[in-house]
Amino acid sequence: MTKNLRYGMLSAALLSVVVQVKAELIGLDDQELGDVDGEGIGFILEDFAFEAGTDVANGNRLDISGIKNKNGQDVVLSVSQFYVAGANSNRGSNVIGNPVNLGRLLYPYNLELVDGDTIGIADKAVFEYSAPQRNTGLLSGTDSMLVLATENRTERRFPNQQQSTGQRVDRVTGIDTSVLNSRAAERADFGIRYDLNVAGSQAQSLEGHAQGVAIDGSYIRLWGENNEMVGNLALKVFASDLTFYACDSAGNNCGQDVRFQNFVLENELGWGEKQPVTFEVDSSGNFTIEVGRLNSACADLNSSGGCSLGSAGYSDFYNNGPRADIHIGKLSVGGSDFGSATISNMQIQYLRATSRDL
Amino acid sequence: MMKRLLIIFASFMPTYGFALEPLSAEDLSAVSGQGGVYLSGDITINENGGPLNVDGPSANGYSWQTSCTTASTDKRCGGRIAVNSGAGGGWLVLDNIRGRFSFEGLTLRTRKINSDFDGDGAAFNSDVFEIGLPNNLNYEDASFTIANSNSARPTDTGFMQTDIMTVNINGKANLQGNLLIFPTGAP
Repeated sequence: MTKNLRYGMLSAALLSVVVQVKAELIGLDDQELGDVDGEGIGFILEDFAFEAGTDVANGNRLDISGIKNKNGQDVVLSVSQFYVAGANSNRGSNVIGNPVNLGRLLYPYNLELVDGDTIGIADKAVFEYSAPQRNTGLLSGTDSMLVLATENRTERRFPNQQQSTGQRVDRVTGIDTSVLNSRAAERADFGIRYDLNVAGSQAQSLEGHAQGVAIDGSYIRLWGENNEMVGNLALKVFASDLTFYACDSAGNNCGQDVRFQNFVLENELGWGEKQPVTFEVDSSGNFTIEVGRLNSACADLNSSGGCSLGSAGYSDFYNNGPRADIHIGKLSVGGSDFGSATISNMQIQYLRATSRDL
Repeated sequence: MMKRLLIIFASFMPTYGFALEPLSAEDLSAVSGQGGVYLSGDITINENGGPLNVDGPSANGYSWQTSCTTASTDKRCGGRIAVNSGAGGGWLVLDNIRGRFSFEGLTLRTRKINSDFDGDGAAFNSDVFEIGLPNNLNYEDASFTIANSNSARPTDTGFMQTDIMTVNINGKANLQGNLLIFPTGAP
């Protein structure tokens, strides 16, 4: 009897322990997830060099197929060299043994779950993959590499509108490399040589080589909204030299170089949740990329998706929104110098591109 | 009497035992592990189709079985990863994954960095996980196709797919260097 009583008491005690440690797993909602700000994971490549597709004679091949020309013939891009190396790679002839560090210990490539509140995406946890961050430039005063000269001008900004006076950007006067955290030794050379093979016969050989490339400030941010993946992209590229040229099918008798020196591309797609970028495949199997309408940039939308307030509603977008700038310090073809070229302040209000199978 | 002595003696025993105690973070940081791991690998994926093509269901309207040679472009051949991009939408597809991939000399180890890196090392002063890249990667008819599709599987009714491009790799890629991985930011 006492034994049974003891067993009974023991079982009750054990049961009570089980009850005490019972805990329920509850799903986190978007708002709770939005408060998550985890530690990121940093990546750098130390003493890195890569080379693929060389030595075609011994069967090394890297072929990209699936393209047709206008006559319906199959076009194959056969890569005969793709390389990533350190400075002075001499158009891909000095790759293995000439390494480069990509990323810095203090400014690495970074994979992180970011609290959306800090980057203008309220109550969301945002997955971010980013290149080394940028500094505020000593000369440019912003995180843009372009040093701008302004002048005071009085002009009409639109036909039939009243004149206004103010500081306007006049020209690009220089390139501020202090914006980049990747130092000269951490900027890679890379390039590609490929042969164009049309309907089974070698047609032409094309080459492109880039020197001193840094992509500091670039990022991909992704999050979910209404059962759909949305994101923001930034692609910021600096190359001290880009060279392109074509050769005959045997890779000889190359044409003249087309050369871009001090090439700067600063491009942003999407503006937080105000202008999300969506990637989707429709039900017929075609790919669509859309840079959304400016949903919350203005309080009231007109029928075409613009602000019913007119240009006044866009001032925030014009001042702070995403934009694209391209600058080529010096463009030359063969020995002829065409000077510099700039395309700046392009802003995308709405974009939708869809693929179609031919 | 003897039993009682034994019991008394036994009751003293635990005081002579050594308890297992957890190591503190400080003690753990003084531990230096062995030299790391050296790996070589050789993997062949769906060289001639895959198990579904050979043993796949063929009754009740299923049509998985097909003959898959290396040159076959049948959508049922090779591995396939399909990701739905949104509710009710289509699928982003990595299709026709097959071929042989091998490497030798991938190393894994941890490493303390407190110098070099053009002055960054001293400021960094921390541990990293180091993946030493192999000197070359060998491919034998390794291929994949990037595509968009209206359904997850090529045997679904009304299946349509747009192939964007196919990459085929043969031979050797040379590389050198280390991939360093470490935590960043403040939690």
